Amino acid sequence: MHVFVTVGTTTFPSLVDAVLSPPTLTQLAKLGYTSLLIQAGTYEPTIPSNAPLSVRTFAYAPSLTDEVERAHLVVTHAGAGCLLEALRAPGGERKLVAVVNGALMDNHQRELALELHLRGHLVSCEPESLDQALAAVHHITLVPFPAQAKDRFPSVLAQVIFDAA
Amino acid sequence: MILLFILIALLWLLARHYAGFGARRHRTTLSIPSSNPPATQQHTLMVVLGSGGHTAEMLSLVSTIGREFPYASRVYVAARGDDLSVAKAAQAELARSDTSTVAYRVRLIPRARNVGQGWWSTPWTTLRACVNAVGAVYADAPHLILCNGPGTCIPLCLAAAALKMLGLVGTRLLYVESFARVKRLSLSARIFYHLRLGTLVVQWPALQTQYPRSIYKGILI
Repeated sequence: MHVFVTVGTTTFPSLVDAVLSPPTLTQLAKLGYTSLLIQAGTYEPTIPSNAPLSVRTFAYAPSLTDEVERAHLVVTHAGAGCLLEALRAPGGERKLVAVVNGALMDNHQRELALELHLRGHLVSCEPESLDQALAAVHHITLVPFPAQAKDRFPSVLAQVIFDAA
Repeated sequence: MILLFILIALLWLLARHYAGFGARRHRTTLSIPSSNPPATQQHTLMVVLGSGGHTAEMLSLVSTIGREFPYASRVYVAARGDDLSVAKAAQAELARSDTSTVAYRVRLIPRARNVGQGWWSTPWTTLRACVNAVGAVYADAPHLILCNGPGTCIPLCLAAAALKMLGLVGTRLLYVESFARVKRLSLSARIFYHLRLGTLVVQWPALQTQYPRSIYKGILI
């Protein structure tokens, strides 16, 4: 089984470090994961030589769709774009953990991650509590996130341009 | 602020007048779509793009606008230098089925402030951005401006409001707050709402409770 970690276009060293910490790597191996791919942005982490699963990193890619689809577990920063991509990726059940970057100003990402957590679509955490989040997400069945309701925006638009003066 | 815009709008119009441009047709009325065959659909939809997340959400919304709406052309507005948004819009247009009947264009406008720009020159570049916003809205006279919060959208909305007040355009404004905003509106959405520039649509119920004049119909993207 395969894990994909992404920081998106941000820099989020504490997420990468939390993933690469010995307890997290041990836990991932214990959960049955054999490979770990990290999209780390500009941050260049040191990979432990004795990691219990294969670890690779890269900086950026034009699209992360393939990597998300290939993974059985996705650990992502809480940006809306990355969350939606992971929530709507096809291919059966995928474990999803959203890690909130507490260092951001005006942190609306926390609210989004928490709301999606409360609705059962993912498990939300901070880098410091990644271990517990990984354990939690493997104890529950996540609620599938609905596809785009393509009739909703047209109905809003009709209301605005045909009804309102 | 609005007074400033009206002043800019007047200056702009005077400049246009003396440069020899004729008067514009004023579009305000709109018939019901069912009785309106595509051949007579002549309105322009202006779509404001922004940085990564904003553009992706906006193009997702635009992809659901079908031929039941009377838009013969779409104008995408992007900040000068935002090549990624322009490329994404072109990609989205290629995926559409109505491109043979609906034309699309891209209009580039300067940013109010560039990243890393010194504060001493900001008033000048902001003024330039506002004048360009007025020019863009006046030239295209869109029936509707659709925006979701990038830096370029508030100048365009204010320009449209000012020109509308002068009776020069009949533009309606629709602001769709980002899916990322669950409990607190973005600054531009708050400006849009409190100045009553148009219709605000939110994608989470808690925001509709706080801003009762907004519309909530679930997640739209």
